[in-house]
Amino acid sequence: MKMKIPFSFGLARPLSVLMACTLLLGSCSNDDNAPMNPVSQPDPQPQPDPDPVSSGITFALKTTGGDETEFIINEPSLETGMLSADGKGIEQTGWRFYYPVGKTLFASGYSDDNQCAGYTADEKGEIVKKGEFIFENSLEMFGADEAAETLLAMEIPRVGFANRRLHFVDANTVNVSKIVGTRIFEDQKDSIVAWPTALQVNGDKLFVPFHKLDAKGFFATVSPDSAFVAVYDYPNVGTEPIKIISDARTSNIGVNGATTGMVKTDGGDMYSFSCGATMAGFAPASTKPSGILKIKAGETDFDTDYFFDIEAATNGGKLFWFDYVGGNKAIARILTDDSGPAWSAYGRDVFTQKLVIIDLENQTITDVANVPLHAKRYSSPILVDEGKVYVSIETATAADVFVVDVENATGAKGAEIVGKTVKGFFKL
Amino acid sequence: MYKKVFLLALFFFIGFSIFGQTAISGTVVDEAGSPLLGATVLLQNSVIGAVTGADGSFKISRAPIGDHLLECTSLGYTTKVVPVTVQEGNEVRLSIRLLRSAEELDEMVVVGTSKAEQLKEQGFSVAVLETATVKNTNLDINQLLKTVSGVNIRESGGLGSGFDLSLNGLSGNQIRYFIDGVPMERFGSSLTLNNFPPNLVERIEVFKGVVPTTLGADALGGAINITTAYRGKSFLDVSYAYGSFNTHIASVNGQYADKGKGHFFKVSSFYNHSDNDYLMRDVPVFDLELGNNLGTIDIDRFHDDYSSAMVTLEAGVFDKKWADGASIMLTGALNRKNYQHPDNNILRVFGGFRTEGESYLGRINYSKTFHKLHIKAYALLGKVRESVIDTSAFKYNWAGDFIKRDDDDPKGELLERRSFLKLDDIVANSQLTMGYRFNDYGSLGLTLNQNRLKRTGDDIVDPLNRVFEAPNTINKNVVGLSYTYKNIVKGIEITPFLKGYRFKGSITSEGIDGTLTTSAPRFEDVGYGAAIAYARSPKLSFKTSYELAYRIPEAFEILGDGIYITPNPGLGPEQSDNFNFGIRYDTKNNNFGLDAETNLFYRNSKNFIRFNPLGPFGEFENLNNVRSVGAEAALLLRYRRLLRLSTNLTYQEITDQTAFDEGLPNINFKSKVPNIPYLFGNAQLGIVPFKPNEKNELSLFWNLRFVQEFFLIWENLGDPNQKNVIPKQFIQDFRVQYTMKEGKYNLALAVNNVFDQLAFDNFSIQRPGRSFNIKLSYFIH
Repeated sequence: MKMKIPFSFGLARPLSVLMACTLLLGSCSNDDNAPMNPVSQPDPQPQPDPDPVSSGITFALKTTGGDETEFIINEPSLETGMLSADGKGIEQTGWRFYYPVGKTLFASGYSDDNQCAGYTADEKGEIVKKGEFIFENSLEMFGADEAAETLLAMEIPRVGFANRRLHFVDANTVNVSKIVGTRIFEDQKDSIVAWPTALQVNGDKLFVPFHKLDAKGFFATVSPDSAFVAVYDYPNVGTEPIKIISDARTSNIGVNGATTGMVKTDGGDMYSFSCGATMAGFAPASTKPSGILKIKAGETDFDTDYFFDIEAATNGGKLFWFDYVGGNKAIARILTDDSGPAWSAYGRDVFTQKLVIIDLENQTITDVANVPLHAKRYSSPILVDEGKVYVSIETATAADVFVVDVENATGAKGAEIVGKTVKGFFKL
Repeated sequence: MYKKVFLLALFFFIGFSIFGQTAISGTVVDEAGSPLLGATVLLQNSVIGAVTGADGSFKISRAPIGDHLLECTSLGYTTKVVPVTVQEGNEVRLSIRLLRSAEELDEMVVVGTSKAEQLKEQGFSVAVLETATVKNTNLDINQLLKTVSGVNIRESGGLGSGFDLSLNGLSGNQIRYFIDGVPMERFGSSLTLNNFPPNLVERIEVFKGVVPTTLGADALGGAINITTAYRGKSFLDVSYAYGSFNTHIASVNGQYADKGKGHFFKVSSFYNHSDNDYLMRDVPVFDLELGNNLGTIDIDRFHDDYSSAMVTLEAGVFDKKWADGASIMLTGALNRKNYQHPDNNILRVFGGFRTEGESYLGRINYSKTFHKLHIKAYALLGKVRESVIDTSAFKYNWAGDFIKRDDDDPKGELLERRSFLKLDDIVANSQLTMGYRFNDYGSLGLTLNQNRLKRTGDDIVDPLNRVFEAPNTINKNVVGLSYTYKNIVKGIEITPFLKGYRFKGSITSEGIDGTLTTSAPRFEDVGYGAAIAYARSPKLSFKTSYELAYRIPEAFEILGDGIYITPNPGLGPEQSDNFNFGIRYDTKNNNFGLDAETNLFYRNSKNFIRFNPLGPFGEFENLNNVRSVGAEAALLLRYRRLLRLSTNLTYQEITDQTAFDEGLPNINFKSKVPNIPYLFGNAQLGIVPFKPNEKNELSLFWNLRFVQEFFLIWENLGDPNQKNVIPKQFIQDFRVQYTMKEGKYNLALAVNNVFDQLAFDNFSIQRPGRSFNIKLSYFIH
């Protein structure tokens, strides 16, 4: 059997380098990761989005074993039974990012799997691929316009000074309409580049919170004690941000592997979360508390009157992830113990994350009842369906769907996941 | 013939007059164990010898005391030289097995024997490809190896392309390769198997799962040994082939040997080139600015040419008092390979990406038999540079269109930043093999092998690429000890063996803050096994063998890549329980020959090394267990020299035996591992329709290669209607060969993939369609 290298989050370029070496040394061939869908027929005709007939929920299931193959599957209910790829689902040729824009689910490949496909439900409610495009460096940060017609996807070169190429992708045709190259922020003298942690459109502005990283590619957070956001015009995004705002009350916004460093409420306010923990990839760790900042609707500066210190709050700790669930509330994960070694929050050795509901306006944290402490390495944006949120919860020995009642902050164990995790739930 | 017998009789007579004499007796048999009548057995450089009788037996009554080389010849068989030690009063008994020679065979013969080590009599599961009869055809080594049951080779393109050989389910670096017993590890990309034209190769031995101790390496799943030696003979072999895709393959292989003075000079060389511009069908074209899909086209590959060349010079002596053989060898080899696309992805199209390799090796060899002790040793020093060159600022698509990147865009074609990475390896490898024969029944073998690699990396374009910037060294020692018990009368041979592995490394890695840390991983393991052969009759024989085998991790698996792949000094070896059982039935009369063989194999492999990510970083860990169970069958039918049909079929079931994945149940536990062919086979038919006289001959060959469709991803997972498959291959080749003057001149024509089938060894990676090839060769000895 040949050696397998499963691509996993954050491992794009290094394996390419290694591959390049092994290409010629012939010591390991990685054709397991052959990144192509056999259906390569382009569809030049834009198709109107059909209304979904199926009321089911589509989800991206990562299996266990081998190279952890992922499948896009549709099931009528996630509340009971088992979620399995046995005999169903569209197989993916490698690790994928999943990002929904309206009724289109984008599945974007990794490393040398440089292809992004769009899926939707056809008239019969079956999930079909409706188009694809290729990219250069992996697309690692995603967002959408407010009309849910355009996917924003950004290539983030890992080492050195290079443009972060923002792709505008038509969700109907799955065609790229334009690419804008921007550095977001860089300082060649001090060897600093920007790593974006959200692409949040709000009115005629695009907000891009970012980490400041060492350009040498070590993921060293060189300014861990401030939050930074680049602000661009939208949709006419320029090569330079119109301004960069910062706030010293907390650390860099967002974490590696989440696209929701900054979220927008129904009213147009924006909130961002900052973590700062070593085990979430901060090196060095921030001396500032993990917390939530706010940018008021229509404004382009942090609200100086608002700071939600999560570590000081009841039920608090260091935030590792959050996403907006409506009604000025967020669902979030908090590290109940943040003393682990570097990047260990992304592993499956420590299970110390708890699920909470945060009232952003009233600044309260409520633990979601009945959900065990767990681990999580990557999440697509969450699906809120009639006040319910589906989350995949992985403990040391089990992976299950939990259905969270946001209003009451309670979880109920739903279907059992036959696999490692569900990376995202979608309604197509 | 009569003349020969007469001369022998004369030599016999003279032989009587020599003092201090003892008898040498024995039998000469053919591959099938049938006695050979009229074979001559002669002490080299003497006039002492004998001729075998109807029962294949011979007796040299008065052989002088001392060490001799006994030369055994028979018309239609390859001459064999056997070292013998004659002692006062101790009659030497020998069993000599001769292989059919070029003139007698229409087609390459796969026989379970190795001339050099007389492995036929041992219980190892081994296939031997005698290239004598095929070296003048247009086949390459990979094509030859594909005809061995249990072997499957997956190629990613044309000449020089990446390939992955699997042997009974294990593959890649789990199989080790040798030239004349020297492990080819880290010899560079110019000296991989597929570079060697068959004209340079005398024999290929394929050891399945259980590897004799004389091949000193950590072979988890088996070993392939190429033999090039033509000892003590002068010859010249020149060949040139030209074919589709502007393919040129040339080789010059010659030796001058002076038997009187006992010295020789040898040259082996090859040159390979191909544009590899074969047609790609239905490849997607993406626009260069935005990456949108514009549709599919059929187009010739335009950046895939490959060139390689090698020269080996060897000078030495043979049949000296102080050495049976001693020589110095110098090898220089170069290659340059353009890539049309990565080996696993056709969506990314290259117009500049390439790799280059250069290898320089120096080696000294020595062998000597002191009475009952046989010693063979070599020491090798090599400098190998492999460069990965991704410096193009242009971006290509399948239509051949290209654009230049913006000046501030550092992207290469494959890598995130343009790069010219040089990896410099210094290899130092030596081996001492000793064999001691106690008596006719028992012999002891000891092999000591040392293999050291020092690697340095330097990227002359991208200063931020730190791959192997700090030099790293790895030391491997393999010790093999074996005992062979052999009873010719009872037809039994048993070889138990022990192998010790020692690994020592010195690994320097750069931390986040730029500090260098050095770690020194080390481990020791002991493997063992045995090979048993039992010949129930000359026609029916049984073999079984077992080995607990190891593969020591590769440098990059332990060392990481200097940044995202963190070093794992605690990484352990992969290990495998390898078991074979084979039955062979071989019969023939004057007209018909039948050779049927079946083997069962079982590989229970543990601690497969797999990459385990953690955030943007990760390391290689021992994570997977895999079991491979299968059966292979081969059948050879022969009618005189006019018709020869050989077929084989392999079925293997490779299952994932990893119960848990990071604490969660592995849903694929006990499932068939995907993306590996599980049913494949070959058929070859050779006929001689025209033979104007004894020396000239026309041969026609038809070859069929079959590989059953297999899945890219686990069979039971996903919608069955939407699964990615690697389609069934049913590829037929046709060859015509005309041989003149007993092989002195050869003309061969080949049509490969006659029906121009779309063929894939790997998912979505097309292989060449129909191609033509003509080859001229000249051989004199």
